[in-house]
Amino acid sequence: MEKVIEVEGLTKSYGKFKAVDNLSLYVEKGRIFGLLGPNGSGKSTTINCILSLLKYQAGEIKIFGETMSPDNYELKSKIGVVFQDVAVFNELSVYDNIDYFCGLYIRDKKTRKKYVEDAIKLTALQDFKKFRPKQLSGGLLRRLNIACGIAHKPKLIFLDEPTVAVDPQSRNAILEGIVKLNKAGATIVYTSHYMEEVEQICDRIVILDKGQIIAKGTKESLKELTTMGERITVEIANLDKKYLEELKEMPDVLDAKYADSKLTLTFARGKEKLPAMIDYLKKNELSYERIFSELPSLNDVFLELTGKELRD
Amino acid sequence: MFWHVFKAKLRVLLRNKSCLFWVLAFPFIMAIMFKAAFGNFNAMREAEPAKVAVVEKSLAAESGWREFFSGINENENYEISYMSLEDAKRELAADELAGYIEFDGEKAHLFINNNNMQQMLIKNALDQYAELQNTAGVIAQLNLEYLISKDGFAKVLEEDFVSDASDEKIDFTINYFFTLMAMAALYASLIGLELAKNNEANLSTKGARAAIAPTDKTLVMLADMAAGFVICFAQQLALYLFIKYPLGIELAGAFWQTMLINAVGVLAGLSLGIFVGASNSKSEGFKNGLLIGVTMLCCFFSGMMGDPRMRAIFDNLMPTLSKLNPINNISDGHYALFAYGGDMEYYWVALGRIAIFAGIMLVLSLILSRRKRYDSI
Repeated sequence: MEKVIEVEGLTKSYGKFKAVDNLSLYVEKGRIFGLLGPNGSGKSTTINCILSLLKYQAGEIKIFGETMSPDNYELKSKIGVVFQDVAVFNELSVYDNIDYFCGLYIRDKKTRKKYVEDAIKLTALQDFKKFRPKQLSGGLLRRLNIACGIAHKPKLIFLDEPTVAVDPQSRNAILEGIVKLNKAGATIVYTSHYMEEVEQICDRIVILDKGQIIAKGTKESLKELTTMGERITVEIANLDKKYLEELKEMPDVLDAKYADSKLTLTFARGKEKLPAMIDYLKKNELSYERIFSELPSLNDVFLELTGKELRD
Repeated sequence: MFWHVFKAKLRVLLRNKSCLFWVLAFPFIMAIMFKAAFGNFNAMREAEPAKVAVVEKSLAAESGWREFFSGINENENYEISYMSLEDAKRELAADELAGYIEFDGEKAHLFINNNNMQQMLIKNALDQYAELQNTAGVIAQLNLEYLISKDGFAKVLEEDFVSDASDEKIDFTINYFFTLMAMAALYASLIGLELAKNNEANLSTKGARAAIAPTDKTLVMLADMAAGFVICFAQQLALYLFIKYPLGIELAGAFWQTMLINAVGVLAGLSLGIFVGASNSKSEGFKNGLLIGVTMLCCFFSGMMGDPRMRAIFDNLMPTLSKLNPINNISDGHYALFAYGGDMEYYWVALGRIAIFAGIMLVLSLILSRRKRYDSI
């Protein structure tokens, strides 16, 4: 498959601190590529280096097979970026903001008008065209930020934490929009520290920590890296300590915790443990509110690899 | 591309309340305040002339001074008389005089026994007169005790003052309005700062968005400057008309030359703002404060705020810096048009200096705006 981005040995330091340390990765055409990592892991720095905004000490970056440089306007015209911070003019309306940023790429007025309308439609901002950014909610503002970054129909789109501080409804709308863009032919690089989002939309994932890649692959292959097979949570009031100790001794139990009326059991890979757990609760006549099972998440992978949570 | 950016930035700037206040509204407020202050001042002058005595004996050897005082006597705001030192002291003590002037062979001394409007009138005439000497390129020995060198006075007397004083047009308070227009021109730096912020990736995310676009940054900056220039120049025009008509201040008649120096002043302000904005990544508040502070400081050293003699003092202490002061150069250009009529030499010198300042700032801004990659953003 054609490689849209190729990064080899990228190193970016601020004094003695290495923000990105000898990082190599590639992104294939048509993918939604996820860069996952906690805050400060080097995701945004990596993107800014790829975009030629930042100077870096070592490494080679190619986009669409060409060396990326600030003067490569041809290459730049194929790229769209949605930055983590909202970057719009408060003095311009929603429509005028999108039109301005689109106009930096598209000279033809007719084409631009169509592109701006398409971006408005994609981000569901039709009812807010004449609004000023300050009149928009956080979610709508994020959508405007996205529209400004993608209106010129780029072939490669970088989305740097586009859903930070967004309500669930807007978040879903944004994620749906990203999938639509991908289906329309754009390759997406998506950074986030929200593992659920990355799991939901990305087909290839790189996990970063302290400027280094600690794991990469599909979400399925990444989950293979964890020894955990299943996590069962039981909402149960006043659990006696003796049951917790008993459960810890059960086969395949990696960990058992009880806090805030929630019993959490982590099991190693193997057979499904939910039926056995329900049997245990019945046998001991323990009444419970809810019981549910979860498969390992990327957070579990991160936890196992680094000893800390993604959102630490 | 140029027009696309120009039109958008014009709208952005016209809707930016902070810029609009400092660049558009603030100079008008100042103009109204000056008018209110000097309007009363003039009214009091008309009501009662300032009586000033010159000690006859001390003046004997200073023939040039007699012409000066006879010139000033033609102005209805002053009443000059000649008397002995004893009489002057007695009349001052009896409040029959606003003050008296005595010469000691080296300097002129002004004696006053209180500090009200009439004393201000005398001081103002002497202070502004000293400033006139500086405009004329003559160094005055002036200190806060109102000691003025006889040489300085004599020279200006020969060159300018007699004819100016007899011309009813002259009003030293006009300098405040010239300096005000200069200040308004330099406030274009705040717009320059705003424009730089929106174009540099290390200053804002909008700047980062602009930096990754396939556009020539110099072209974008020039379009930005054009938008800023249109707004600031329109403001200069409006301020000029406002001072001249509603406020009724008599300004220089040379409209186009006035607007030319204002235009170059605006360009200098814009370039200064872009340079300050693009040259470092300090906070926006810091840079705003810096530019307002620098402008105010330039105004202070130009004599706009408080003591008008500050201009003369600063000229004497730091002549090179004084020549670099854009406020001085713009207001000098105005004053040259106003006071020297047909002689345009001072005007062109002032225009040349401010143009050089603008040129240097513009080149530095262009160099900075062509940066490719940043150390950090």
